[in-house]
Amino acid sequence: MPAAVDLLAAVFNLNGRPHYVHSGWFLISVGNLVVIVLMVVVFVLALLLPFPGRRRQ
Amino acid sequence: MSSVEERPTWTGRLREAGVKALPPERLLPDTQPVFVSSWIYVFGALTIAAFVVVLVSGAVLALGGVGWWHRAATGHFFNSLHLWSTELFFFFMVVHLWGKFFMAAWRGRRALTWITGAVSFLVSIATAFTGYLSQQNFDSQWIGTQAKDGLNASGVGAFFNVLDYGQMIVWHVLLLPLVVGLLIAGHVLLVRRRGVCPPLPARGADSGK
Repeated sequence: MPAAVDLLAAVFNLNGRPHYVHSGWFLISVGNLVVIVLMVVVFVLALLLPFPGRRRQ
Repeated sequence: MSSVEERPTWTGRLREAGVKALPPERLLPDTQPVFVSSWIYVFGALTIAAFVVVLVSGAVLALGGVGWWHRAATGHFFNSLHLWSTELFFFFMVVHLWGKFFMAAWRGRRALTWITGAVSFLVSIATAFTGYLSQQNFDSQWIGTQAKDGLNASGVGAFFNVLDYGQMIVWHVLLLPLVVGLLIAGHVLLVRRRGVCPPLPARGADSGK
């Protein structure tokens, strides 16, 4: 299975075998890691993207 | 209008105190400062919207009973709606928390607003935890048996026993949502009273309080 498909399956198949990112002391499930990365991305976009209709006082 | 002391009843005194603390134009404003026109100010409202979906989907699940989602497609649908709205609730709340933390939103006599938000976050985690304990599957059994030793060691086991399913479901559907709802309501009223926190000033400018 290609890596991208494997990653998506790890995120969306909640009944399957869990996938983890593990390096030394650092251990996190792929699903949790994806959510954290998404939160950071959304946070940065919320700071940078212009807000539509910026006319209120 | 007469003063608070002249009101002979507690309802009158309560109304006057409420109107004084939160006049109607401040409780339900129809304009906001120009700095609120930013996406980072949207996530508090998104969190509340997700919370409403959590409450409604949870109420529908309560109608069907705790085992409904195991045996019926409709129950499974509402259980999924409950799960994913909870995921979005925490997602939006964390982005809201980061935004407020990095703009030091406790400035300008807003400490209690910050504290009620932080406590809401912590109680929401406890609420979600009791939800995982209420799934009636191996996942909830695993979580319960893993959590019991830590919680019992902290001393809360006398009145919060994670292996007591009846107790956990009542905490999940009544007590904790009530606390979260009251905290969120208080948080929003405090935001209305103190106003939305402005962004941090540029270096060398006014404090922005």
